[in-house]
Amino acid sequence: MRRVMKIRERILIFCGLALFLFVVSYAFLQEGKAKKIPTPVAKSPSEQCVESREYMRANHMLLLNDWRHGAVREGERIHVTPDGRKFEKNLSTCFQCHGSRGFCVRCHTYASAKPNCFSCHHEM
Amino acid sequence: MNDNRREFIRKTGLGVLAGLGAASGIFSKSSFATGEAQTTHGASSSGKRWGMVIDTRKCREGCTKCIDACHEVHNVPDFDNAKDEIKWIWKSPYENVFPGESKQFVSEETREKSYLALCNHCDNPPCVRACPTKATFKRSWDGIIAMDYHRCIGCRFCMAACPYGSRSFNWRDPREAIEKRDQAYPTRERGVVEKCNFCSERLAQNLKPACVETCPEGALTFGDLNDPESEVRMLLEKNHTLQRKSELGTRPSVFYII
Amino acid sequence: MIEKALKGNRSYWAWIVILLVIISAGVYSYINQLTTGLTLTGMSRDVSWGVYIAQFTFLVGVAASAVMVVLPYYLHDYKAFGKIVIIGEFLAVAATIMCVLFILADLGRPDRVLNVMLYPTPNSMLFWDATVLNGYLLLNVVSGWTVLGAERKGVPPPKWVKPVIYLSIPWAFSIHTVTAFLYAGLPGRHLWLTAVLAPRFLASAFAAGPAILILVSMILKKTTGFDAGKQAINKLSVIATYAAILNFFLLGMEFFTAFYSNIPSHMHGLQYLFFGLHGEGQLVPWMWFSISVGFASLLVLLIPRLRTSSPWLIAACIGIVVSIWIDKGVGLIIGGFVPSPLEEIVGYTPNLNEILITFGIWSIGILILTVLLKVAVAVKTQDD
Repeated sequence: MRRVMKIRERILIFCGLALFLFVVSYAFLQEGKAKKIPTPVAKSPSEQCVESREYMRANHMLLLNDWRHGAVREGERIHVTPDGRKFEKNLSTCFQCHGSRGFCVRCHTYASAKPNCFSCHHEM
Repeated sequence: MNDNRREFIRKTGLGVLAGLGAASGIFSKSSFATGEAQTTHGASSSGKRWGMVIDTRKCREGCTKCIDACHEVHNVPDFDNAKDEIKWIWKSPYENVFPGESKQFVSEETREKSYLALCNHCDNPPCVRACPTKATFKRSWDGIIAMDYHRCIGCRFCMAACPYGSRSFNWRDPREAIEKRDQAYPTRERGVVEKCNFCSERLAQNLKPACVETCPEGALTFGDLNDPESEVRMLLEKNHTLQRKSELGTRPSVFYII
Repeated sequence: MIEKALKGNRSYWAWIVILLVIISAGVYSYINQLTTGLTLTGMSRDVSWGVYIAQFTFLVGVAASAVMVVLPYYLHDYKAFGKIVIIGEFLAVAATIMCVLFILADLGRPDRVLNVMLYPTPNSMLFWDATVLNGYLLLNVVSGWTVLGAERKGVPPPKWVKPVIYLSIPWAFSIHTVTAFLYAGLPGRHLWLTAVLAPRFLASAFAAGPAILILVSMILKKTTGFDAGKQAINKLSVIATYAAILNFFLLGMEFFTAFYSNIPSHMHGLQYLFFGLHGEGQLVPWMWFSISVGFASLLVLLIPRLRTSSPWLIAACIGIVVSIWIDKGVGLIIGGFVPSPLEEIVGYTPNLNEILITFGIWSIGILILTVLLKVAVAVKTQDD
C-alpha cells in the first residue's frame, strides 16, 4: 500500500539528491587551468628523444616506470634506443634536452596530472 | 525485496566479477604479472658481493669525515633533534656497536674509542625477509641491500627486523633540514625508510663509496668479497676481524679489525 | 536490516553523536598527520612502533576471541551460547576493522598500502597478516550478517554459511598467531624472540576478549534489555579465567627463562619493563599496575561466588582487560624496542595528535559495534 510522503521526507530526499549531484560533478565544474593545449618544445629541437614524439606523448609515463624498475631493481641502467643510441635511465637524461621540471609542468597542469617525482628527484 | 530484484542484483554482481576477472587476464600489464624473485637466503652464486673492512686501529677519534661525506652526497637531512634523526653511518662506543662482546676488563683504548656503525648489507638479511612489498631487497648481482623508495609503504617492519639499528625513517619532509642539496642524488620523501646504500650510484660509475674515499687515514677498505684476490679478502686473510652480532646468522658484509 | 540502526531512543542518538564528535577530532588529527608526517607522534628512530601498533596487537586478540563463542556453539552445539554468538561475531568485526585502521594510521605512505597486495611477498609476515585479517573480516561479516538475516526472516540459515563459520574457527587462531609471528621471528628483538609469544598472545586474547564480550553483553542488557543468558555469561567468565591463568603462567615462564639463564640480552627487556635498566624505568609503574590489577582480577574470577556476582564480575572483567591491554600494548610493543639494538635506552610518550587519532579509531570501532548490535538486538527481539 503506497503512503503519501511527508514533507520532511521530501526535503531530506531533495537535499540529499542535490548534495549527491554536486559531489559527483565537482571535478567537472573546475575551470581548466590552461585554455590552450600546450606544446612542449625541447631545448635543442635538433636532438632526437629516446623514443619518437608520438610514442612519448602517449607512453612517457610507462617508459619512466620501466626505467625506474630497470635501474633500481634490475641494475640495468642503460637504455638502448631502437636505432642503437645509449642513454642513462635517469630523469637527468630527459633534462639534458628538455631543460627542467617546467617542461613537464606545462602539460601536467593542463591535464591535471600530479605525479610526485619532484618531491624526491631534482627539478633540473 | 522481491525475488526479481534479488535475481537481477545477483546476476549483475556475478557479471561484474566475471568482467573484472576477464579484464585482469586480458590486460595483464598489471603488476600481478611482474615476477619478482629476490633471494633472501644463501649467497649470490654468481656476481659480486660488495663488502667493507673497517680498520678501527686507523680510525681517528673525533674525526667524522666519512659521516659528513656520506650525508652530504646523499642529501641526508640534519634535524637537530633525536626523535626525527636520520643517519646512514655514525660512530658509537664499543659496547653499543658490539653488545655481545665481553664487557669485562676491556682495554683502555677500546673503552675510549668510537666505532663506525652502518648498514651491514647482510648476506642473510632479516629486513628483506620482513618487508611486505619487497621495497627493500637484495640486489642479485652485487649483494647490496637496496631500498626502492617508490615502493616503500612506510610500515617500518624492516626497522623492527634489523638487529643493528641501521635504518632510519622519514618522520617528516627531509627537505626542510638539508643544508646544501647535492643535485647528483635525489632526496627522499617523508613516509619512507632509508639507510646506507653502499653508494651504489657511485659504484655504477666505478667510484668507491664516499666514506671510503674520504677517509684521510685509509681506515676503510671496500671490495668484492667474492673475489679471492681483492684487497678486502687479503685484509681478512691477514687480520682477525669481528662482526656485529654474528651469532644471529645474518652474515654481515662489514668486518672490523679491532 | 541496517535500517534497524536508524531507529533509536534519545540516549542511543546521544551516544552516536558523542562517538561522532570523538571521531571528528581523530579525523582532524589524522589529516594533520597526513600532511606533516608521523613526526606528529612520539615515535622515534629507536622506538619506531608505538601506540597505534600497540592497539592493533591488542585488538587482533579481541577479534580472534570470537572463536571462544563460535567454537562451542557451532562445533559442539553448546546451545547456551545461542544469543551471545552474534555479539561475539560483531565484536570481532568491529575489532578487525579497528586493527586495519590502526595499521593504516601507522603507515608512512598509506596511499601505497595496496603495494602489499600488488607485490605479494610470502616470506613477509606482514603480508600474511594483511591477508588473514581481511579474510577474517570477510568471514565474520558474511556469516554474522547472513545468520542474522535468516533469523530475521524466521528461516534456517543457508547451507553454505556452515563451512564459512567452520573456516572462521581455525582462521581466528591463525590471525593472532600470524600477528605473533610478526614479532617472534625478528632476530634482533630479544623480548619478542620467544616460542612462547604466540601461545601467550592467544591466552591473553582469550582472557581479554571474553571479558570484553561479557562487559558488552551487560551493557546491552542494561540499555536494551537484551539478555544473553546467565549460563552464557558464566561459561564465558570460566573461559576467561582459565585463559588468564594460562597467560600469567606463560609470563612466569618468560621470567624464569630470562632470569635463571641470566643471559643479559634475554633479561634486558624484562628488566627495563619491570625493574628499570641503567637507571631508566619509564614503564615500571605501568607493568606493576598491570600485574597487580591482573592478579586481583584473576583472584576474583577464581572464586565462584564472586565470579557469578555481577558487580564483582564487571570489576574483574575491567581489570583483566586493563591488565592485558597494558601488558600487550604498552609492555610488549614499547618494551620490545628497549633497549635498542645498540643497547641504548630511548623513551616513548605518545603525544596529543597520536592520542586523538587513537581515540578516534576506537570510537569508529565502537560506533560500528553499536550499529551492528542495534541491528542484532532488533532482529533477536523482533520488534519491527
